[in-house]
Amino acid sequence: MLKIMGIVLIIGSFTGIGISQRRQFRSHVAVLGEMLSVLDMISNELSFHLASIPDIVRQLAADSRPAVSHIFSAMRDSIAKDDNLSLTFKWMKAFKECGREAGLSEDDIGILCDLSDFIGKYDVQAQQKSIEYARTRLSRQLAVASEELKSKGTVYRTCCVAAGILLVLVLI
Amino acid sequence: MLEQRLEQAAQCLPPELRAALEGLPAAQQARCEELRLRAGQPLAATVGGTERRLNSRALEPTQLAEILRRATAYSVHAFTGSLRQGFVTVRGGHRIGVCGQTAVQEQELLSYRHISSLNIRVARQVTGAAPAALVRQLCERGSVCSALFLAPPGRGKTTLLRDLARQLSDSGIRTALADERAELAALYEGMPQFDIGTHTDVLDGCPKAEAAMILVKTMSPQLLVLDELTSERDVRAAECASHCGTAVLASAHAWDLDDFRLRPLYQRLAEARIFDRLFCIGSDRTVVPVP
Repeated sequence: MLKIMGIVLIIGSFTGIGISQRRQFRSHVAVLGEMLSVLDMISNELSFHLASIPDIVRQLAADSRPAVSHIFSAMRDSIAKDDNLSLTFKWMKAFKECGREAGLSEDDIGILCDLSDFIGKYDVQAQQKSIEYARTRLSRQLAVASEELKSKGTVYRTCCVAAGILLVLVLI
Repeated sequence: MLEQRLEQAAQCLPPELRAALEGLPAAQQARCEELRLRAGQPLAATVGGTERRLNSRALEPTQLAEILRRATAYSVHAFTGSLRQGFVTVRGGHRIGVCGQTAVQEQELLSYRHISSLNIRVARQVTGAAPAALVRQLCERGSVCSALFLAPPGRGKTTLLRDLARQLSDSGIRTALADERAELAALYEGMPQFDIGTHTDVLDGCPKAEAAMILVKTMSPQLLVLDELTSERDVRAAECASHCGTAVLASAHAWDLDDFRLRPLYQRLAEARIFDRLFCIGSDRTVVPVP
């Protein structure tokens, strides 16, 4: 009985590790998709409403998607503070402090931080060009992440299950 | 603690400059008309027409640029139109004039490369700025007549028009404000920051000529308020509104009637006889009817 329980626990925990690895890949793909839609939203708000950046940030902080809301709530709170720090700094700080937790990679965060050099500083056309550039770079990241999910995600899950079974066989 | 309106106007200043403003006595804070910021000079406040230097460090051009960025909520794109005319209007209707090295394209101001000075005009509501006698002169048998107010800058044309709009609106006259520079009502997130009366509709940020036509077509006002007629299109808009049966209250830059008649822009206005009444605002801000 104990043996069976041990087998189940070992295979179960290894499978869990595999699934959680795969989930990480999946959430990376999801959060990149969300960031792309955020860029679209910013671009539309700029071109149609000429909305101010703090207004756009407030809207994004109220977003129902947890990753988007997490990053932009931090940015909204930081903008609300009456200090001498620039928006450029606050934009970068929010992505650097909350980006990893939200599921972005360092490269993704770098791309989104690069936007801070343009956001709110130039006319709409110039800002849209920089957003479009960031969009292209993020889309590339998304393609890579999707490929990773397909290949590595399945490999991780299968390998972990196999490793679990192997360990059970060795122990038996 | 700063006086409320001054604090709102000074919102774009960094904490150390706001602290310097606290050095002004309370009575002067309440009368402060402008805040002057010039590169290489300390912050100055204009009270009663006189500039007074405050206890702050000399300002750097980079500080001025950052103040302007804060004033525009780090959203230059939302102020491109007004910046091209040399100003931005911030929350509360306070106008910030901008000077410096400009970038010009096809004879039009494109942007500022470096900022050398800023002038923050503190907008204040003066309830009762329009005397009851003036309001009576404008109302005839339950309807309002069209009137034009002439004065050079700084004589309180906007304050007078705002108070007239408030009083006439509160008396039940459907009033519309074409608030191109966001100074009459100073809408913020849809709410007027000044008391503009209970029967008032506002179109904010839209060029006066377009705003006037939209308001006449969509809100059927009995009274249309246009602050500062400065272009041929503004004059045409006043004319069109008047032909639609809407009374027009407007202001224009001129020292007196002779000066008004000399200005080519206003000749058409004079010929069209849109306005039933003309008034000049004196240096002591008294409103004098022009015969």
